[in-house]
Amino acid sequence: MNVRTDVMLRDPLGQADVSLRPAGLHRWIVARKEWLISERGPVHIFAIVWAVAVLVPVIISVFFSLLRAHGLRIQWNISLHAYRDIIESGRWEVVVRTLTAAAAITAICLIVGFPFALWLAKRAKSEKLIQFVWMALTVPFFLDPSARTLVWRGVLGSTGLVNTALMKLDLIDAPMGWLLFSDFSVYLGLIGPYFPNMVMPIYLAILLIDNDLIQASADLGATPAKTLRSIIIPLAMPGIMAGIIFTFVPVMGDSIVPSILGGGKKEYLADTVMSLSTSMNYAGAAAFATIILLLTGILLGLFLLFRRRAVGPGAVA
Amino acid sequence: MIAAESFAYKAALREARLIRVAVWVTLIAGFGVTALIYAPVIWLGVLSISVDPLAGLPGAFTMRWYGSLFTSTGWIQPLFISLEVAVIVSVLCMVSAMLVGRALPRLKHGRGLLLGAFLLPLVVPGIVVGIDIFIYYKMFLTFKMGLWSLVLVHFIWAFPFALIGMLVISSRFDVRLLEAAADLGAAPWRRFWDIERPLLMTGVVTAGMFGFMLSLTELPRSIFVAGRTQTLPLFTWAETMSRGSHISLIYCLNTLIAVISVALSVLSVWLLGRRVKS
Repeated sequence: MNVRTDVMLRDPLGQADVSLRPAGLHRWIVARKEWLISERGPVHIFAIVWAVAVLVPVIISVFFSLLRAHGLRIQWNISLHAYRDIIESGRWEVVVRTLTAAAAITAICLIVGFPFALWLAKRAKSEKLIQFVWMALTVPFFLDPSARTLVWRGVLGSTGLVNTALMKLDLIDAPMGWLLFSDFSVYLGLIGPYFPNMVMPIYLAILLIDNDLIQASADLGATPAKTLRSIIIPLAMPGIMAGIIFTFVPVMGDSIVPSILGGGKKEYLADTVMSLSTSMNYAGAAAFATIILLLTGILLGLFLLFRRRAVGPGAVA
Repeated sequence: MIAAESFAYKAALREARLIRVAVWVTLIAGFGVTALIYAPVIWLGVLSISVDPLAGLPGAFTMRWYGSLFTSTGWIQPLFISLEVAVIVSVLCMVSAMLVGRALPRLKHGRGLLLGAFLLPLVVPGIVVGIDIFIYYKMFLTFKMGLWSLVLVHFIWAFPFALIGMLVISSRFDVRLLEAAADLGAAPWRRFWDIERPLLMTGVVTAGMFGFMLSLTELPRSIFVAGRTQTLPLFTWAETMSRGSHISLIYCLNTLIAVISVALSVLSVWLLGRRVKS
């Protein structure tokens, strides 16, 4: 075995001995080859493809909302026409209604979800039960949104399960019309599917809290309420914020539930985007998409700001 | 003294009772909201076998509607397109989650930025992705929408989940194993194939299953970029919105889709959980 092979065996990438590395163009090629077969290469290539294919379209669409278009033909002059249209046509009401709904649903999910996550992370004893709940919260991500929504019509409609049952029991005389194609039905259809989005991040955040901390707080005489306020909630804050974002944002952008359960009477943001795009007003649709994106960006910005303050600068993991 | 002690005892007792009540309220509310997800799915199954699905309370049951799936065959073509897209997305997810997921935990620079960019679709509503992809590729680049654009938006939706599934496995991978292999003279490809591949296989399989299922049931993004191609969720959605008389058929199809997706997702989560524990 000559000296070179021996060194190659001990140091396959030739990092130790500079004199063993090739020079010039050859060196560049070898470096590229190493980069390609190293773990970094594919990631960088994928990141570039991802940026070009996915992130660029989003930026372009924001720009597009500032243009005017006739059908599929673009007119290349910049105007705020699409945004002025939103205000003049009274469609800003849709924005307000959607934000109200999203905030209410997020609040309900948080109020129910935080104690539930706390129970799941710190109080639930049975390993089987925890697994079962975790599973039950995972499956909704993989359900066809229209499949899980449509059946609410059969439950809430004027000849649906609830009305028929209540009338059979003589509790009401006539079917309650407000059950379906109303804000109520849209809320009901949205709360369930997005509940896991709230519980999961909070659960993971609480799971990371050391039990000793909670025990120490109790040993020092803090009441459970005090421990909750000054130990658990502050430490779970990143999870709570993530839960709020993961619930608020998709609820705000959900197009399927309002179109199936809203009955076209009450329009929501995503409904409007769909109807604008069906009528080929793509600049208007892009303007609404941009508004949704902007609101998401504001929420994310708040989250990052909050996290930096909570963890302290430089300590962001 | 005794009085004070009994006071403290009573206070502790009251506190314990309060906590017990709070736990019960929590559980009832939590499982109640979870039931809002599953009760409709179960009711869907009940309606799919009732003679008159539009009657409030199901009376008689029948398998007739499932039988009519064989005669009214409009759903078969969309099903095959859905399967085609789902298989392509699944393979893309496996390959890309493997390449990115194995390396991301070991990167020295820009790890947070890259992870953020890859997970971004999780916080962008589907409708925004749909309309943005349509505007960019159809209106600016004038590409014809079709299978490829469905694959693209499904991949955008599924990749973050696939990556997370992969990272659960790959962040536990011990890099020293590779160093040891290198010390023993294994070439890069050998190190990858003999050591990383078998250890990361669960992550790859999970990524593939996530990709397959998320693609199979994807609707909000597909609406914008499908062109003339129709997937199964698009088919059932169109039938739903047209208020046609095919409601029993749609209930049957939706039930089948729900049963399959519940089974597949339980399987993949179980697979991932088992691996993480061992």
